Amino acid sequence: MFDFNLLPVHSVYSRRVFKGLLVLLALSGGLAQALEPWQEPLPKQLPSVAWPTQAWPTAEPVLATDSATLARDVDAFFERVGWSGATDTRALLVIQSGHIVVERYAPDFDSRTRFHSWSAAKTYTQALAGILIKDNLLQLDDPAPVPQWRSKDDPRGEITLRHLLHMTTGLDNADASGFVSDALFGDGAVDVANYSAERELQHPPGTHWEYSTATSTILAGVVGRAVGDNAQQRRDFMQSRFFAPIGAADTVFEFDAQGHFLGGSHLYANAHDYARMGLLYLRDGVWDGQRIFPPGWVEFTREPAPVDNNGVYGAHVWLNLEPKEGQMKLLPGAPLSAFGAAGNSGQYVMVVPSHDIVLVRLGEIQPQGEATMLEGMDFLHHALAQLLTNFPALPSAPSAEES
Amino acid sequence: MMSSWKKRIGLSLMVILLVGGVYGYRNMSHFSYTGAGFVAHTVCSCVHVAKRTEASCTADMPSAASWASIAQIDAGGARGVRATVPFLADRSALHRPGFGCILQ
Repeated sequence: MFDFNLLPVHSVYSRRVFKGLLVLLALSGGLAQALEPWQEPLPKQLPSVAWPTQAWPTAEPVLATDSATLARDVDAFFERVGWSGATDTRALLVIQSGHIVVERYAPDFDSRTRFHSWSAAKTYTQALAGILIKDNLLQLDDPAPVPQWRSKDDPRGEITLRHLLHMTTGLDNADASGFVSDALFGDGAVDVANYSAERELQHPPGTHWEYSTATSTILAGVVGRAVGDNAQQRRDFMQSRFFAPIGAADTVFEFDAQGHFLGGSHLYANAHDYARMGLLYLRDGVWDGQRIFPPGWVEFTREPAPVDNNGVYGAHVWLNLEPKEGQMKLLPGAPLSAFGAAGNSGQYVMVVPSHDIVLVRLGEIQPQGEATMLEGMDFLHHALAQLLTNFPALPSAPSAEES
Repeated sequence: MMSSWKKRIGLSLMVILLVGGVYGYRNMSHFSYTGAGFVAHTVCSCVHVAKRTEASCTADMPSAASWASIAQIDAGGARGVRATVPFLADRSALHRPGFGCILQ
């Protein structure tokens, strides 16, 4: 046993304090090894790095490889390599420790071009819900305030905000059924949130995971009703509480004719502003000293929805945990703690805490010949993972194998 | 003079064709309505929110959307896009600055 009396300290009190610190150190080491990927600490903005509220600072990348390898891996997004279809990337950004270190656009596109988010909008809707929870205007485990579900015996009255965020409502509105097309562009288009809320339950709430854009539009309806009764009030809320504080005021959420925003699919932002959203999550919901999200929100975001058939999904974000059979890994070979927003045709905002990196890829996937959209997405996931290998992990970050 | 069984077969075939035609038309109509809505909204947003040219926006449309004709419109000062499938669907999306394109 170690003899603390041998320590070069000058008093019994000092030796007791030192012994206590050693015990705490040992305990904290043990606790760190027990952390789940979504609990791993998020890196903080260095005091010497300006927040990109006005403009993104730029820097030369700190590389784990070399500039030639980085250039090759960036080129892969813009050239027809590795896959028979067109990659059709229109914007690619890498943010490292709060700086733009890689930025490239296809011809006719630039940093001012607004790109369609498709389902990456879902993460924005999640953010707005988080802000309202911070304001105590919404509660995670209360019944979701949806007017159609309020009658006394309606089983949908058991659906909570948590179920909406995790996509475990049990409603018959899965994207796989084709309902999303009707809701957004067909019979539901003029009143998407309410049209989506009319669906019946297929499973008890909280028992079954199903990817559903309609669920996100219901969530958008909940958020919208909590902040006002018209589109202007809802837009003012998202601008003043989310977009403007992080310097992303150019972002546009689209609305339907009833004044609800299309929270599952229709947001337009430029590449710099998508990266700002990613940085906000990377910095645990704090922006330049101002807390935007409630404490613990990003950890909740990154935790997988607690049902058996969960498709590696958190609270309206995709996770980099090991996928179920037949599903795609978000960033193959990258740490399990990575997570991100993803949209149709390859819109990605990937957050990699272990490397203090945000990756943004925007554009189209245009399968040709025998190639399919899923193959295109798989190509992009591997290309993003390959791009990440150019950058070193932070010194104390666990490796992918250790996560 | 046609025998009665031939008349029955002929009548049955006509009913089948009529029912099939109605069913097919309704499906086509629904498909066209939704598809034209997609085209109108997506092209409107691409032109007026993303500020791209109509040609670059229509180039991003899936090939199935080629059956819809597209026109830029101005409805009482609100600019937008109309997508039409002859005899089947006519949809419009109008741009409201700050709120995107809104499908009508």
